[in-house]
Amino acid sequence: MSTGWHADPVVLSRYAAEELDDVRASSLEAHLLTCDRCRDALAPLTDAPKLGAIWHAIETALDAPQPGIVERAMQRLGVPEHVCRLLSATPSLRVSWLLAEAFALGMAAIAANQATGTGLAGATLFLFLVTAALAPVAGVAAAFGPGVDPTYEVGLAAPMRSDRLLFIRASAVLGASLAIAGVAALALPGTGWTLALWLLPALGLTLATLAVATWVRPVWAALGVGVGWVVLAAATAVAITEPLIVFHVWGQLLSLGLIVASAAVIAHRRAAYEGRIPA
Amino acid sequence: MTVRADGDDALVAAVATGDREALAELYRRHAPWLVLRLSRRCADPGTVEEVVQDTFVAVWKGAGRFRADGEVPAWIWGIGVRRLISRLRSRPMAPTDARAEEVMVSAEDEVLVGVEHGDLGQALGRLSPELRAVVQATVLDGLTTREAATLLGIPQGTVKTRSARARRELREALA
Amino acid sequence: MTVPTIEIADVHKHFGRTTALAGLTFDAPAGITGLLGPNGAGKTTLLRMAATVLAPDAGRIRMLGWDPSVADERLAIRRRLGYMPQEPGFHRNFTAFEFVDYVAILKEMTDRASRHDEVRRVLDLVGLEKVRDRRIKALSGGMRRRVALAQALLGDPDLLVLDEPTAGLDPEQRLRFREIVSERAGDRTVLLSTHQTEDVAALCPRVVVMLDGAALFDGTPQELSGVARGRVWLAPERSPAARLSWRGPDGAHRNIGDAPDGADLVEPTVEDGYLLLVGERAFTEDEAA
Repeated sequence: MSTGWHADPVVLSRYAAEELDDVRASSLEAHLLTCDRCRDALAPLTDAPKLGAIWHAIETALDAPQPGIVERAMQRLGVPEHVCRLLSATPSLRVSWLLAEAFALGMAAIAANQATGTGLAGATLFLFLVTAALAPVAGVAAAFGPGVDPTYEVGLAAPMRSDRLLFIRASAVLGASLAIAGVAALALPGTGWTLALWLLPALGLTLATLAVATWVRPVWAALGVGVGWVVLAAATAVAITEPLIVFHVWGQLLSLGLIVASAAVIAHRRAAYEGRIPA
Repeated sequence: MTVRADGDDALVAAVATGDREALAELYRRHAPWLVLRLSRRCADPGTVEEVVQDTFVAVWKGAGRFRADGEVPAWIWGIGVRRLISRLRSRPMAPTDARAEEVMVSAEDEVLVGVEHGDLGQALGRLSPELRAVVQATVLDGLTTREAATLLGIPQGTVKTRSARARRELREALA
Repeated sequence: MTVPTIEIADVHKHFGRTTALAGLTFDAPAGITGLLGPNGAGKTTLLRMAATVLAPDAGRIRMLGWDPSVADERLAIRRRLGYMPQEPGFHRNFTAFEFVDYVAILKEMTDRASRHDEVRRVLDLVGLEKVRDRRIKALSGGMRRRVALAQALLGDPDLLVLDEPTAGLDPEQRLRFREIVSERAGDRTVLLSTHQTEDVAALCPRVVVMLDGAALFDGTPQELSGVARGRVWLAPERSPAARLSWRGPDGAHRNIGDAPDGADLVEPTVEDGYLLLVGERAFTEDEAA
């Protein structure tokens, strides 16, 4: 290609108007790849508003926050984009947290499996069930409130209701925990109901945490409920020498009762989630 | 930094460091011809706009992988045409060249464009539009048979036969 | 004063045994009002109440005519509010854009396209358009403050509450900040706190001086400097009659207090008025700031 040749202005304007014949257009295109002078001459002849609109779209695409794996998964489940963004700021929904949870519960389930037929069978199963019921409580503690959420104060001053944010996050955390525990439970020995003994207690404890959080910070609520649960489970196991007693019929019924009572408290005291600035 | 004075190579290097203004300058220089060149290969303006957008986002993300000895416009075109093809692959619609009919070359055009088109230009002009499209895709755009097939909406076998026929006709015309 | 947009009447607040506010009373009109006072004066407590995140123990508060203790009215205030807390917290890995976008969602902007346009707009306003996609932890302190200011400007609020917005900024940054705020003010209401008298003198048509949870002064900066009229003089050394005295750059001592006869009186500044009202308290707590 001779560097001396440059496209005629008439040719350029016809090309820009998409009126140039194929042969000349192809030839011009090949030339434009190597000649910045002709490219610069072509630029003013093109559709400026359209180019501006495309640039705006490019900037938008570059600015848009890049969703992480968890967020993309949630979007595919149909969760609206802005809700996903709120969830993405939840520490207990980060991949690292979820992996840690999966690991802990997975190990506990495998341990229970390995221990079948030995004296530890009951104890390892007990350990799994207690942990599986506790996991979502820890998740809720790390999901909301001062000390955990750096933007808590700004969030309080924003129109979005605090209870709504809390429920969105708590639901997502609960869902994730139940799913992880459910998958881990497949590695447990036994079949049928054993695999789901932790489900009602998990729900009961989580709702109890949310209910107590209408009085104190979510972190303290979770701590209180969690410690109470561990103490109760341990005490009954020791006192009654049947480690799984807390998961048997009475335990399940009590969990159900806890769910109902907590739901009532939460519904009644929803407004209390706001305005909790520490001194 | 007077961005205007920088060559394209320097701009790409700046984009690789996250310089948004360098990308804006690259866009200013190369988006106009890219839009027009893509429009000649795809009749749907909405698709063309999306492809241009995708191209520059890809430039932003891939600037670090550009080797300084290459040509920036050719690199941009390579990204753009491949984006177009992958878009077309997911759509059943075949893009039609809006000017499938041969454009009559007027005597004025002959004079304006000058001598360098000469024999080859005339020979190309005498090819049918379908053959010419295949030549443009495989020779000028540097696409593979498969890519050309997707772009033109025809089977790969047809690309090969038309390409062979075009070569034969051109050889005869230039002999 | 024209119609006040902020009314604070006899507000009290205790935290355990500490009294934060002891019968604070003042009104503020549209425009910029500065809260001036040493640390511990109760400025942050008052601003938190203005931002509806803290309730008083007693007293009456009206923001833009609404009562924050009534749920519906509190929501109405929040929809028109931009709040920049003293310690803005950020999610560690967010970029500047992502953080402001997150707050925009909390402010009920659910449509993605218009929300992103608004985020870009406020980041441009504070001069951060070039660092939109830089992580906050990689930004300097001054830039982080500007991010915090940007989120407060989302949605073009009628009420801006800014707690120590210039703390930790160097003079040039403070100047730029003042420009941004004074441009946005217009007929909006801005309530900001500071312990820098230059901020107040340059920016605020109205000043409230606070000490120990109460208002010592409520008026214009000119009136505040007027408090010290006839009570500021220069002397070669510290004068025994002076309540406060310090050595100026040219060697002479500036004295504030009851001037003795024949003293070399000078024109008082806003700072002089402030110091006269607040006394040594301005220095003792200030060292930490």
